[in-house]
Amino acid sequence: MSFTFQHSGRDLSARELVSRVMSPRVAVIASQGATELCQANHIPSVVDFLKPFGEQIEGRVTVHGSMGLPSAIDNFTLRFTEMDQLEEPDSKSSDRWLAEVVRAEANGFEDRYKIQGKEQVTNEYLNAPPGRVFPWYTRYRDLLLSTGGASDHETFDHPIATIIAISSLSPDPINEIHQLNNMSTPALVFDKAYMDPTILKYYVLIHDNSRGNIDNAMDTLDKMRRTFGLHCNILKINSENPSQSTLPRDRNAHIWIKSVAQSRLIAMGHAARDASTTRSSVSSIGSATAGTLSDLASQRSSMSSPVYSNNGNNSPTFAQNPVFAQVGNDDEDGTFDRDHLSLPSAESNKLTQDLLLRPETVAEPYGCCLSSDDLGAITQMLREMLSQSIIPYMERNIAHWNEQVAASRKGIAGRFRRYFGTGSKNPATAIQQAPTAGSSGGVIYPHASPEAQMRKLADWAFMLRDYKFALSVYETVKKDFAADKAWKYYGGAQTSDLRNGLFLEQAAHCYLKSSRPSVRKYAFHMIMAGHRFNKADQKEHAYRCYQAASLVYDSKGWALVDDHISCSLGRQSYQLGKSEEVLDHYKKLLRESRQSPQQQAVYMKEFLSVYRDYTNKIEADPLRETFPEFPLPVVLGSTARIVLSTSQGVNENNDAWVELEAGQQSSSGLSGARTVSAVGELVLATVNIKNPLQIPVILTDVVLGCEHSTSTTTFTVPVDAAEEAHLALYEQQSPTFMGKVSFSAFDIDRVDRVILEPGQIRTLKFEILPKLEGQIKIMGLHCNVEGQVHAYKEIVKKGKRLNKTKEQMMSQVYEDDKSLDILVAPEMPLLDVEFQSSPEMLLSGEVCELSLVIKNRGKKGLKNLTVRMSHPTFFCIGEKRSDGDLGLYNKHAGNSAIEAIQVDNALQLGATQQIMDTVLAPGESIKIPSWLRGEKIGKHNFLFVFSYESEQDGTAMGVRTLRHTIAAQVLPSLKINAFTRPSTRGLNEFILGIETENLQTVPNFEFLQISSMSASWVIEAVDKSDDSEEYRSIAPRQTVFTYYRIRKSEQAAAPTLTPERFTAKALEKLVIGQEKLKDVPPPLDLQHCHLSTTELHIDSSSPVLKYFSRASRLGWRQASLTAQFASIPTTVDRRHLFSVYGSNDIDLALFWNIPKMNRRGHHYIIGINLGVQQNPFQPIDPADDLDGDGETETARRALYEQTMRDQAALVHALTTNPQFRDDSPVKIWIRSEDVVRHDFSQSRLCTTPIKIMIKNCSWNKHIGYTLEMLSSKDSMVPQKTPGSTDNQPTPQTALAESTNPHVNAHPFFWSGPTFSTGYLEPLAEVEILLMACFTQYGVYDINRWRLAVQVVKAQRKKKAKAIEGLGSMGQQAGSNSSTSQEEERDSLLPPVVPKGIGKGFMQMPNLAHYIQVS
Amino acid sequence: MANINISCIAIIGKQNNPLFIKNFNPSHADLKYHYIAHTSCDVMEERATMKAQDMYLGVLFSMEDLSVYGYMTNTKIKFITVLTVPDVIIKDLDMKNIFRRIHAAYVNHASNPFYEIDSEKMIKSKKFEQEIEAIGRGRALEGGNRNSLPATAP
Repeated sequence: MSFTFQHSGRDLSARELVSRVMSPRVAVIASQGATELCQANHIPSVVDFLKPFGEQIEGRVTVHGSMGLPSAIDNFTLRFTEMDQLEEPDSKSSDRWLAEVVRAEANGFEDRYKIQGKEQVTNEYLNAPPGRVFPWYTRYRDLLLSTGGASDHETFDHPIATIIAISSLSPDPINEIHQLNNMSTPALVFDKAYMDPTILKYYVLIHDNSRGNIDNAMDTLDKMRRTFGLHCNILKINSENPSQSTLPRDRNAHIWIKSVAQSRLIAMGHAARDASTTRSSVSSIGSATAGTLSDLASQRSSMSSPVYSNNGNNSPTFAQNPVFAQVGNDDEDGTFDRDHLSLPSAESNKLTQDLLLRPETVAEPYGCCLSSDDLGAITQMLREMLSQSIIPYMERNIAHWNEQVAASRKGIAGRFRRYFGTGSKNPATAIQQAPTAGSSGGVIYPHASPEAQMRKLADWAFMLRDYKFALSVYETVKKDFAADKAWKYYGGAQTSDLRNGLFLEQAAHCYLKSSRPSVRKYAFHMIMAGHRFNKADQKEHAYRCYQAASLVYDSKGWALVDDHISCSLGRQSYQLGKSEEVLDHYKKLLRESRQSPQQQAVYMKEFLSVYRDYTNKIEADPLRETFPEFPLPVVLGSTARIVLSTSQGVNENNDAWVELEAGQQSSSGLSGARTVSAVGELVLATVNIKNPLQIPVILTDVVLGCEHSTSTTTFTVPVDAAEEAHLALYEQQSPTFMGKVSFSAFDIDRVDRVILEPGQIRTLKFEILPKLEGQIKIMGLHCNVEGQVHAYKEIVKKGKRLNKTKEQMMSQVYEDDKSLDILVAPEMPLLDVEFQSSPEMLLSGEVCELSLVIKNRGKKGLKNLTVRMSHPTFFCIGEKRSDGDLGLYNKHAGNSAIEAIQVDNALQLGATQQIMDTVLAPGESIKIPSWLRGEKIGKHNFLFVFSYESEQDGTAMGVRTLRHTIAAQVLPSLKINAFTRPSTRGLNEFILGIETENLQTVPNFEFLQISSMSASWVIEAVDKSDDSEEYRSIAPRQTVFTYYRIRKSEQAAAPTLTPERFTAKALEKLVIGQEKLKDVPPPLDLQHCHLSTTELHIDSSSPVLKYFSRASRLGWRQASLTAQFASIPTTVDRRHLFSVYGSNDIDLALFWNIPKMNRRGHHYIIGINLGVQQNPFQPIDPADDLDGDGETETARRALYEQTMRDQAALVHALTTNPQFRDDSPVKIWIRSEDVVRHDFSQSRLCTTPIKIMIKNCSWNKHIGYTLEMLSSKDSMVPQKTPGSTDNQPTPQTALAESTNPHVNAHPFFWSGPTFSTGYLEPLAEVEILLMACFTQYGVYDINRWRLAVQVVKAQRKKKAKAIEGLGSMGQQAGSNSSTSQEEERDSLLPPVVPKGIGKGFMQMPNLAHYIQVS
Repeated sequence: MANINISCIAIIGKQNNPLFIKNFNPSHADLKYHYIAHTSCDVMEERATMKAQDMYLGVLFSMEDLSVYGYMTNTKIKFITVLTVPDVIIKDLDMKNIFRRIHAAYVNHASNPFYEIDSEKMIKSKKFEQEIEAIGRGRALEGGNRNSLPATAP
């Protein structure tokens, strides 16, 4: 058949739902006989029998709207109710059912949408039926709507019609109808003032096809029609006899299952309600009767509680029913107790639950007597009733009310009446307060009042789906209600909590469904809903709501909100018994937050107690089980580090250390960023931990979790490594291992107890003692928090940020960090050094002897011991040698000596010094003599890096290093100034003056010796007789001058490649871009010349002295080169450019001692250069090039303009180096007899030869010179030379004048050639003989000449253009004119072929050279 | 502006993260204003798309006895002021004034070169707190030097 039954649980569209819920309600009164007919079908009452069919009355009905226009409605709905159940059932029990239903739906529900942001608001979510998103809500809604009752403010639940049903088997049907009709006791519900008792009555005769006679029944119907009018109908049912039928008995049951269960519940509710009402306020019912006596009444006794009994009148009392007894209890204490809900003691409770949640389990074979025709008949009957009686009735009434009431209200008169006639219709006169305060409050309009009628008009129009009209009426009547402040309030905290919760959740979902999803509002409403659910004791829902909200708030920085949610979730899940989740949520609270300390203490306490419960429950030892990801304490992984017990002074002078260690071929501590240690050597690991809370936290049994692996290259950590390690640790928590935990591969410290103050950061130190080769990786930190929770915190340390590939740049990728891995090498030698008798204070220049004690503490032999020092000029560490030739000052007979010693002239740092080349066996120690010299004044920290290897080759560790520091203060002793000036005795002689000041206040310094070290110069005493006692010692605060002569050494062999030449060539190579400079200057022979004050002299053979002099020289040389050649890129190795010693350098060493204090030492005077000053950057003439490969064609190699520019800049910087000023390479020396005896009477002219020696002192420049002897009239000659007699005639001259035929002539003039020009190769000299003529006696300055020197290129051009008429007079021509510079630079620029003209100098005498003519 | 009773001033960052929330109303918990501030983000985002011109967004919503006003800078920093609804009408001009002062205080703070503008951390600055405190307590600062706040105003 075509009959389809719509299950009420199905999802309806909103419109469908509203029209269905807001459908006309029909009350039913049935006779006992009619009820019995239904009960034959196991259906308790006529209402239940009809109910499912009213849900959807198949077919179309036509309705005439307010304007009289017909419109069609499909599938109209009617709602059937027992006459005495018009009001809401007992709120307590219905609330209980609602709560049950809602709670039940929470079980097993899984939020499949997980709204976190707008992204999750998908179409899938938006289009999902509500039953999927929130099934509890649809259930709640359906149940709530089905249990709704008549109320005062709206009329949807007021009955529109009444069905009065009797059985055709009744012996006196008409009378029975009358009985039902004229009930002496009116239905309580009509006592209410707002209920309109005049409603449509519809009489139905129910006929049992199998038992009654159809003709009799039709007669009865006729009778009824005559008596009661047209609203009568017959319903024929029970055509089948279930005992004879072969059809399944429950074939129709599905139609009723739900509705019958619901009815049973509602009936239970009504029973409970009646009970409470009778108990509490029976009297008020009476008083509430407002004279609207109903002619309709129900026979309550016959119909109460059909659920429990079929024997009619004898219904059980609610008191006997445990369900209601319990409801009664609830009534008394006013709340739902959790215990009540969680203790399903009563069976009826189960029944209630079954009815609510599993109606099919308590179903009976409903409708077993009904054939399919019967089912059709029911629908047919309802349709007839609807279209013929109910709809016309409603249309009539609507039209009537519209005319009578609404029209008048809408007009202008009505408005005025509102304002002027309020008194007459003041609802206060009709106000009737509800008997119980809980049900309602405020104004109630009686049914006959215009407002109530208007409302009814609107509601009815709405039911007939004339929405426009209904709205207009609502609008009108709304104003009245508003003015009268007739708000409807609902009371009852728990009811509203559940309802609030549900509605808040709905509101939350609505925010998501708006055009712009408002996720945050959604979350906020979910929170509020959760709060309400919690109050309503709906833990599951509260938990669910908080959970949903937490997804939105999660990790967005709203800490306070997060904490609130975590706390709520924690407490909810605790009450739900989800221990693990409780812990999860509490875990989140134990962090740095804005919570007060008290609050945090509460959280901590709650957490600990929950955890205790939990571990008790699962029977675990809380100290054995690790709490996963426990938030306390915070481990600052990035600061965790490993330090070898062998390293020292990590934090001081770090840069200096790094610089020192940079030179080591492989530093010992780290290998591929891993720390390398050896078996049996302690490693110190430091970890910083922090307490994020504002309360103190106690940690006990803190141990580092480490993993050991035997492989030294790869390291794979087992998945549960941490857990295993912990268990091993746990087993070892025995008192015998106090402070230490022992494993097979290593021992590790244990910190027994740490108290972390609020917010404190503490550094924990653990010593790890490796016992096996391989690798140890520090994984994490084990600790017990508050002695109750065992936590394992991974130590996470990131490596370098990677930035190579695009992905790495887009995201943050880090290198694996290896700094917490320890590579355990086999046993190694372990060096221990100590400087014995190291002084804390010494004088500047003083030399002290120390001994370096080297000990091997390790288990293996030690070899290749080397050292690097921060102050190589201060220390000389002897080598471990068999011979004892280690004396500092070796003395030899004789107070002067010259020895030639060849030195390495390469500018090499004595970077790494080998100390010992033998193997030092384990446990052995040796002493190595060393010397400390106070090179510089001040406080010094001397850093040493010793490095050594194991005698066993190929260990993972390779070279080990050891840092060592000693400190000393150097005090001032002597202040020494040295100066030189050319000696008049020869071309290459100088006088050296040394000014020595004793800066000390107490001791006398005693000179021992002065030594010179130079390639080409030697020192000698000026006069042996000067060597007196007073020059030998300097009293405190005294200054002594001593003088020496420096002369060219005769023995000096000129090397083929002088250091200057080497430098010049190297610089040129650098300039022309020869990338690879690899030559170093050849060794140089130095002449050591000693002048001793005693009979013994100290020779330079001592390696200590050699070392110190070279170290000092190197130090000075490097410093000065750095200052002079800043323009040379630092990438160029200075070693291949410069030498340590120049050929004209002379270094002096001054040896002294303080006999009283037994101190001795020596000072160096370094930096005296007796050569001609010139820029070391000298173009080398190709012809002069010794190598012969000097073709400067390399210029074109510079491919790039940039290179060219760099090169030009370098050349410019080198040539115009302000540190150097070229002097004239020519030295001139005039020799003559000092006194010329002459008798002018013999000859009027005195002629004497003057020898002028001109020497080219440059090692590389060819020069042309022009010597011009000047006449006394020459403008260049100073006219007022002291002693010259030219202008002021002395008596002698006056006397001579008479005899002098040349009155106007100067008494001194040159005769013969006065002009000499020539060419000099490097180091060549020429002697020119000139004749000076004098005409008078006197003293004459014969230094009257001018020398023009021109540097020429090596084209062997003899003729050089003398530069005449140079600027101002008296100026040394050495000043560079810009033009000559230009020329010179031009000549240097590689592509330019030298023109042959270099720099020019003009020399004039600057000292007088007197000659006496007598 | 005497009638304006500020309950809370909140500043919310670009990523809708809280930067600063100050409660001036002892009768409510801080938590409530955190919720309000967070919820306001939705409304502000919606408002801001509608009228892009003005930074002042007016009343965002009302909740119980509180009304929430919003203001969003060009850099999507959101200022929220929660008022206890008074009996008199609140003029937009007054509210704009308050927001302008908050904005000025924020700009001052953000101008600190050591302040990481995108750090998403809560603002911790004594001076900034003082300024907000002054605004919240309705102390007059108009035209005055912001660096020398009157420490004790009624």
